[in-house]
Amino acid sequence: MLSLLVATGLAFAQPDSDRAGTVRAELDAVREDLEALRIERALAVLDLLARREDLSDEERLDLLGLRAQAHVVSGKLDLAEGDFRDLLRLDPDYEPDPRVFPPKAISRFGRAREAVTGLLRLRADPEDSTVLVDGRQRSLAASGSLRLAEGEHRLRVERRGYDAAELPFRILPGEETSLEVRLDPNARSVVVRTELEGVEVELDGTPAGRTVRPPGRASEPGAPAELLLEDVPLGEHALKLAKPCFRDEATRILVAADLAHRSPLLLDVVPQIPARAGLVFSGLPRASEVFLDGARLDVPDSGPIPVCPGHHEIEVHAGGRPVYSGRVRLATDETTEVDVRPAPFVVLVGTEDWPPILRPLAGQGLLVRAKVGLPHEGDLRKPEGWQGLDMPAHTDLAVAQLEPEAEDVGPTVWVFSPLLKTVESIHRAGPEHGKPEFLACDPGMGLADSRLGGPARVVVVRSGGPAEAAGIRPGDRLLSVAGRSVESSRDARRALASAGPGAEVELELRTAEPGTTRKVRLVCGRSPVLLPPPREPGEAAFRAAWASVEAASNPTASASALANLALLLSWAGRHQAAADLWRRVRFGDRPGIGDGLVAYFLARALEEAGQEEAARDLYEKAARSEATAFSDWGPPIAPAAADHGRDLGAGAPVTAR
Amino acid sequence: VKGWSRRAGAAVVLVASLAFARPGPPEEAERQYRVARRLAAEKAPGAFEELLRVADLDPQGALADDALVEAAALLGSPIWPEQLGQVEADRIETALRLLDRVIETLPASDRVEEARIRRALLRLEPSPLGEPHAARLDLLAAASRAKPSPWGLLARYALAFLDEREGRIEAARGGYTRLIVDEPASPVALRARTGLARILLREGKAGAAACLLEEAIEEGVPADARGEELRELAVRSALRAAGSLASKPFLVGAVFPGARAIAVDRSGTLLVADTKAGQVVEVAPSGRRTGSWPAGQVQALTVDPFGRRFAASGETVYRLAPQGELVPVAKLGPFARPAALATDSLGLLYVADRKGERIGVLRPGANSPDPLFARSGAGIAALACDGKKLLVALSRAGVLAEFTEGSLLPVREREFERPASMALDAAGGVAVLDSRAREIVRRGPGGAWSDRVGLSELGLEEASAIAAGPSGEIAVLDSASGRIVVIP
Repeated sequence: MLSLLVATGLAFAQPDSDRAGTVRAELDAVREDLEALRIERALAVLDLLARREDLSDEERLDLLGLRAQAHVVSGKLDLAEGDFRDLLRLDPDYEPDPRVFPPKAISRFGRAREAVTGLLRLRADPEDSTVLVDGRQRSLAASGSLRLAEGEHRLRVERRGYDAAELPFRILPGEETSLEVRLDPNARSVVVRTELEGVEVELDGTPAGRTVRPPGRASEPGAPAELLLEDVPLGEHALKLAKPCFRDEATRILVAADLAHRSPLLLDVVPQIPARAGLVFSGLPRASEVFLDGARLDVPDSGPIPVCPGHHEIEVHAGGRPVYSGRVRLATDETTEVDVRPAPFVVLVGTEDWPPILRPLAGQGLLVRAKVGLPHEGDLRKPEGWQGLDMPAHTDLAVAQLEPEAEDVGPTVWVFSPLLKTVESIHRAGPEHGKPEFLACDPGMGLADSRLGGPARVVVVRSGGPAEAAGIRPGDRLLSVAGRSVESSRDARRALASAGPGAEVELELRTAEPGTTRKVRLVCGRSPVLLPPPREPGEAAFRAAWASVEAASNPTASASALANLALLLSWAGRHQAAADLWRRVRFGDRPGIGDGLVAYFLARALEEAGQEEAARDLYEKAARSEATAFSDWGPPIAPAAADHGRDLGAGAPVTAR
Repeated sequence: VKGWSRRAGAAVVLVASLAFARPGPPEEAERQYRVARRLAAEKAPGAFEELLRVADLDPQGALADDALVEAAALLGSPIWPEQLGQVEADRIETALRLLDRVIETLPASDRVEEARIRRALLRLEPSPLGEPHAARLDLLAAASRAKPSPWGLLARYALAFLDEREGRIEAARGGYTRLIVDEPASPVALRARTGLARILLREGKAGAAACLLEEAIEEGVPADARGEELRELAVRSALRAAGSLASKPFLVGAVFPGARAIAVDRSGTLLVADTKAGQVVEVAPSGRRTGSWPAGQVQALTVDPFGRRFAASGETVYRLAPQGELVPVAKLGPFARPAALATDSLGLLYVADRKGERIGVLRPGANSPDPLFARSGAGIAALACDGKKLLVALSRAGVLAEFTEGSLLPVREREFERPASMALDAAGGVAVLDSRAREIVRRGPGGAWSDRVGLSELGLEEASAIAAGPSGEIAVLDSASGRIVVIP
């Protein structure tokens, strides 16, 4: 006993974490004592444990059960009955195990139950309501009854869609107390029904799901699709139904309680009325493909394309690459014109928006393809620092705004050209960073100023060219272009350039005879243009980006754009890439810039790449051509080609050089 | 001994401490360089010496090459071939010595390439120190590098310029075009455009030349490339060919009662030898007198392709230096009181004797002309150089002749009654004053003698000399009245 007391005392002294384990171990030891019929020892331990106030209900139930068992074994049935009473007060549903307790003990248990518990018979409406007694959720027996300890209790009956009911009641020992609780509804389920399935339902502005045909009625013709909205609060609600390519339907519904009919409110079937929006493209390149939400779209020669209203992704492909990408919202019964003019794809790095200095350029149609974060490693001031960035395919340009290195320097913008593999910092954006013109108006005449002869004199007219066709002769003086007077040949060249290739412009001329003026209409030819080397930082990257897009999307300017891109590659030191590109350039047999020029620059690239033999042959070809450089009026390429060819051992050397 | 040793020790310490206290050669040279640069920028006297002191302070220092090259530049060392002929002859030797020092003692310095180009151009100067062959080799070496630097490009340009000047037109065309096409953003490309335009102009492609020059001018071709004057010439040629150059001859505002000879320089400035006034007068295109030289009895005037002005007066040839200075060049000896004077692109000065029977050549640095040609009764009335080619007007035979390998080969494409004077413009156009026919006949760059103006149309009783301006204009001198008329 002393050892037991010591053990128990020790157990009390034990920390909480071990307490439960100790109690459980003690109870298990008691169980073994009982099995070994060491009843007194078991009772001693149990009595000691019973005096403790820190036992859990479960431990106490176990203890009382064991003590009742010990009392029964030791023949102390009154004490066992007392244990049963304590048990039932704790757990009115307690039932003794008949395999452990003999019938006389079971009988004593029955007496104890009659003495300390009573029955609650509850009728709840709705029947599936949740029942809580004294705050604990209880399950009713099939008969609707519930055994409870004698005394005062509090009942709560609740159910979603109903106001909860709460009331006190008293259980008398051995008696049955009947209660009837009817809940008042405060909501009702609603069934939305639509003619077509997949209709998005929005209740009071919140998406509620989409209608589907009930599984059993899927094949039934005309069976509406349904969406059950459970426990919609009573009152008026806004209901909106939407399905792509159909008109949106908006209505208000009144949800009222019907105590007689608790079934969901079945709304009338809503028919879906098809809806259409018109889509018209401007700036769509010839020989391009349009994809609407990833699906190829047939674009008619004229008129709007009927498509579903709503938000759509548009992508235009030309020349084997996307050249436009954008998102558009189309309104029902309206025709929307979308400008799909091709433009370079730009990736913004480490910035959510265009750096301020580049915003004027963004307005020229540059398309932000993606935004990516700054890399954790790598120096974006060097080309290799950009290699690890996850940039989408066909990125033409990437822009990063980095923190300044010194305090007195503003944020610096770095531009990376994936095409040229160059990176440059840029501090301003000017017209030279904008879209370049790869074709120019070829008037077929040359103009020059003279102190004696006056400004803008026609000094040469190309045979068979636009000027000759318009009746312009050498010696004429140009007075105005498209109604704007010109004060110099530079003015005139700019005015003609702004007219653009293929444009028809009215020119006013003073002929050789003094005082005689006349007007002619000149149809500009289309002259490819090889732009001079970029001077501004970032200019090459922007030009290359535009050249890549133009080469893909504009068949008329494709050769010129490719040639400019190839030149930029050469200037960036990427000679082999330049050579590969020059092989794709086809100007055809035309006066001025032509295939002789291609041969020349291909030879230059190959020579730089160390392929001198191939270069020599091409120089010889270029030396036999009448091609010009830079424009159809530029210097002839042949002498330069011959000079290069001689350097590589082609032909006879010229004099001492 | 002990005391001496203590004193010596103290002296060593003192000297060492002084040496440490003073700035070392690099620092001192750097400070000196800053001072010299400022003086040079202000064109202050002594800047040259101060630059040399930089190299003396630290002969192998990082700034020695800068100082020496800049000192050579101060002496007038040209950097573009168009600038040849501007450096004073006595400075060439000094400049060459400075540049040689950079090339030989500082071969790894960062301005050695510039020094080589400058040396090459100095060697092309029309002077006794000229070494055209060595200069050409230097330029070829600089131009042949696989990755030409700006100096390499300049060398290429200089080679093309030389080719053009010396008549290797195809090589010049190739060199110019290559620069224009391969290096379009380089400053040499703009100059190369003017070079190519000159070639086109000489081939009669005035319109194409004008267009090329328009672009070059728009892009800012430097003034010393003479792009604007050349464009004017090209446009006038094109308009003249189209028959639409509406222009009238005009009279120069001033009258020169004793005028004997005239010349026009490459900026259009007129030089008039007024024997009565005993001076050579400089007259701006506006007619305003802008300078004079005290040279009496001048028989002939000429301006060479480098822009240098020469006057033959009695037995002496003078160079008309700036600020009215007359610099004797050589004695004419048997060629005294010459009938004609001309200069070529190599700096040679040709002179025809008073009787028009002999031609002599005065080489740079020579004291007198060497005889080149002699024929009794040849009737040499005028000389003119087209590049290296010497054209001779023979008044008695009534033809122009080309001097080739010691003899005069008549150019039979046009005959004259009495060619008395001759002028060549920058496009290779030739004008001849026929004093008996009383007319001036012009051969355009294309080769056609299509343009003639009668003296009476010019309001002149008689004319004695003509000269061509940079825009193709012809100045005509009437010695009798002292009036000068300009035909645009």
